[in-house]
Parts: sequence; structure tokens; C-alpha cells
Amino acid sequence: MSDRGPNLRRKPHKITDDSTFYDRLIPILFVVLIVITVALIAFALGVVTGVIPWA
Amino acid sequence: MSLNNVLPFLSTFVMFIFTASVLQRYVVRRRSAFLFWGIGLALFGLGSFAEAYLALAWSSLMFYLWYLGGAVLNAAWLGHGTVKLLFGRRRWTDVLTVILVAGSLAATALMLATPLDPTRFQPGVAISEQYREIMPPGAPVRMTTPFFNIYGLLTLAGGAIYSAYLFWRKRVLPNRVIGNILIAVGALSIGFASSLTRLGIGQYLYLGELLAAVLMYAGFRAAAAPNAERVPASESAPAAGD
Repeated sequence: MSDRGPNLRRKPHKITDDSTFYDRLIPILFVVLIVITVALIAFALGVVTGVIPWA
Repeated sequence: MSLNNVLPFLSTFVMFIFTASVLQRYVVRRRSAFLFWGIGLALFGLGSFAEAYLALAWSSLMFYLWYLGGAVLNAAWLGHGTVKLLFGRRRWTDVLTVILVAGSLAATALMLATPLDPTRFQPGVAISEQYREIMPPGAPVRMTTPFFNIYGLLTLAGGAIYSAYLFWRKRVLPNRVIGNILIAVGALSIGFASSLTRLGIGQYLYLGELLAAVLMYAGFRAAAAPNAERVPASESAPAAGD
């Protein structure tokens, strides 16, 4: 992106205040994703250690 | 032609477009993260292509590509790109790079040394549902898969979640919050489908791969979208660096 004038600056987009999506849904999504990630890693560790048998 | 014949071709198509986009960014910006992502995506795409081929006919080379590209290596290389993005060039990331390359070469050697039984191959059956009959029981290369997948899950999904969280906490660049969440969901889709395959439920692998391809590409496009606007310099809001 090139400057179009000498008095312009970049202003990054911001998350709006009081956003239900970003203030409520996104945090829940973070928790869900972390739980799933940990579960899948635990599953893989179970396979490595022999706790979970190979099919 | 069944759905299981079509899905791998769709995944391959999406992945090759994705790979070209990322490698083009590497050529322009020369950031190693793009190179590792590009290699990971190329492995994913090759694995999908081999899967599509094996849905129709047998080939030892395609089986090797499918297992190495699709099952063993792609997640770890993708995740390593995220490590390079988040932590840059440090001694320990260079050590991880050496371990990843050495481990990949070792897994490749083990794969090539694995005797396959093509007489057990059934055309028209998803390779994810019959690969255990084709490979010998306890094949050493199969033991390497969890290590690469653990590293890939931790770094790709974990790294994307962490990146999304950082931008969310700072309340800036919402496109990168959404983009990284899409990448994380895509990575977990294939991770979940792969785990089911390991338990003997292989019929969802194709769907997981297509979801991963589409979601990760969508996440990449969202995160890379323009994230700032030109405003008069007199506005008081401070600029946050990229």
C-alpha cells in the first residue's frame, strides 16, 4: 500500500467495544479449541505410550 | 464416482492454490515461516493427490506419498512455520529445524524400507480404511507418526490459538483473530479425523482433509487481508505495529 499524501498515517482496525461476538463468543471458542487440542495431544501421547492400542 | 473419489481431488485443488499463495509470499518477503508453511502445504497437497489416485488404482509411490505427506510430515512442517513466525530465528528454533529435517529424512528412509503388500489393495475403497492391511504390522514408520503429529498439533493449532488470543487481548486486527481461529479449527479438523483413522474409523479422513484445506486457506486469506486504513495524520489514535 503506497502513501497517497504526506499527511496520511496507517490506523489499524480495532475490535469494537461492547461486541457480543468478540467479548463472549470468542473467549468460549478459545476454551473449546484449547480443550480439543489438549485432548488430541493426549490421544497421541496415549498411542505413543501404548495406553491406546493401535487399530 | 463416489464422494470418496471426489473429496481428495477437491482437497488437492485447494491445497495447491494455498501452497502457491504461501510460496509466492516467501519469494517476495523471504521469511522462513512462509517456506516451512509452503513445504507443509505441498506435503498436504501431495498426500491428498496420492489419496485421490489410490481411490482408483494402486501405486507404491503414491502410497509412500500418501503416508509420508498426508499422515506423517505435513502437520509438523506447518506447525514449524508457525514457530518461526512467532519466535523468529533463535538458537532453539534452529535446533528444532535440524530435528525436524533429520526426523523427516529418517521417516522417509523408514517408509521406503517398509515392504508393502499390494495384493491386499482394493480399488474403490478409501486408502485410509485399508492401509493397515497393506503395511506390515508394527511397521517402524508408523511409530514416528504420533511424534510428528504431537509437534504439529501443539505448534500449528496451539500457535494459531495463541496468535488469535494475542490480537484479541489487544483488541486490534479482528481479521487476524478470525483468521487464526479458522486456521486452528482447520488444523483440529484434520487432527480429529486422523485420530479416528488410527482407531480404525477411516471414512471421515477425506472430509477432515477438505475441511482443513478450506478452513486454513480461508484463515490465511482473512489474516492476510488489509488491516489498516489511511487516515489523516491529525487523528489522535496511536498506530499499533504489525
